[in-house]
Amino acid sequence: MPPTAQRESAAEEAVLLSRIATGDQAAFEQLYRKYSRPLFSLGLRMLENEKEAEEALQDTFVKLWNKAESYDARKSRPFTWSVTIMRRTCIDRLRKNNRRPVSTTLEDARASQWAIPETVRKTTELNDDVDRVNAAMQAIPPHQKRALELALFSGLTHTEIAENLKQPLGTVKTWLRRGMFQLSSSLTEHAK
Amino acid sequence: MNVTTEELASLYVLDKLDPAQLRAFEARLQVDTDLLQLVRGLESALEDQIRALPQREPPGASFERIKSQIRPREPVPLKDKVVSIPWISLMGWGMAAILLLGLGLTFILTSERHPPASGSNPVVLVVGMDAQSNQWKTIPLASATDASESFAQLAVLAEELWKNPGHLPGYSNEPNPANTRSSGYTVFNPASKHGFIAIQQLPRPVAGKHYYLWVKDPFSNRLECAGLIPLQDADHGLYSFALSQDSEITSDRVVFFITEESSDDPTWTRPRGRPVLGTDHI
Repeated sequence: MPPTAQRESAAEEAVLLSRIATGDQAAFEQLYRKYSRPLFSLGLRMLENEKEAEEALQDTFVKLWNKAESYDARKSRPFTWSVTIMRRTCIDRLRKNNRRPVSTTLEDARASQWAIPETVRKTTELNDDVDRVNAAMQAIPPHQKRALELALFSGLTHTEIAENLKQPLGTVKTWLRRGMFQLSSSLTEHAK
Repeated sequence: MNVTTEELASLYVLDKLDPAQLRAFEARLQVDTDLLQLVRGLESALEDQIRALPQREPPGASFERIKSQIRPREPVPLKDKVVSIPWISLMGWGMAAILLLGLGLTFILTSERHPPASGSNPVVLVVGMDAQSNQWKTIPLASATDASESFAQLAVLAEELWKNPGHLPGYSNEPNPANTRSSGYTVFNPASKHGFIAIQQLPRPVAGKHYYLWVKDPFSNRLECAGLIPLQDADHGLYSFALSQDSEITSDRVVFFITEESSDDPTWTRPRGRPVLGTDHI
């Protein structure tokens, strides 16, 4: 999504959260329609189990309802805030079940059986966005990309990521920083 | 932005900061527009990554299951909510915020909601500060019915002391032993962890530096940054602050001090710069 459109969307979603904070169930349903698919997909990526991903999604939306009043627009954008809640919920499930974190790469995930059929990608715009992000990810050096994937989807702490990658913690932090900034920069360039 | 700040911002967006770093970083986000811009760019990249994952719709009955788990709230008309200051969540703070704005106070730094003061003998800690010391005084606080009332009481007291500094502990109109006239005071409710800090005649920080407010429990040695003080064109001001709800500072006897920190070293976990007001010891 181009930066301007995303900002407008974030503003609308912040308004939805403020309405949810007042007990507005229609706003809650609207937010569900906007966020449920990407959050469920994130849950599938992290938990690799449809039933668990669905339960995590439900837990996350109950938390969004309960915590909407504490949402602070200065701290994060609405979707990032929701992603953080979903990721923490998934991480709790991974740890509770003493499961090993997901270690497949993004490419593996895309090829796996739960990956989306092409028919679900409804619009050209969505395909363009996916292609744009894929291109940006491809441009990141493999070790930085791996660190980023582990940071985003595995539930590992950065210390555990360092152990997993057999690298000093400082090196992993540097990879994460460079990876995030390169991704951000590439996506901004593509959006222009 | 330097590399340390960029690293903290990346870890913040990836939700990899430890609790102390997170509190400090979020406090800085409240006042640092450049940092906020940086974080927004990284958040955008993260969001794009999530949306570019293979997408699947959740099962159709999911939303009904969620609805069965939420507790309906009594709808509140939006017009009764105060949301006009974007970086502060004021919902639930309506009356207190209106009162504060009416008093002409500057309302800054973090403002998370906290429960009202609890216990049978609530007190407010008043700490007078000069360049070398803290002087304490406790004032009984009337029981508040809710957090807003507790906050408003604190604001009224802070402003009262601003008008009548003679009531401050250790007040003197003479230059202090460090030969400066810089002074300040803090009113702090240990139960709600809200406070106000007032500053008088504090020179502006040199270019590239900022003043940070620190809170320390001298008995447990726990230390936290309460935020950045945005002294702009004035050498004085009255500011609100709040420790986070999960702050480990629980003592009702704490010290406050202000240091001048380099913008290039924004770790927010330990003061590294020159102390300019108050002290970190008794």
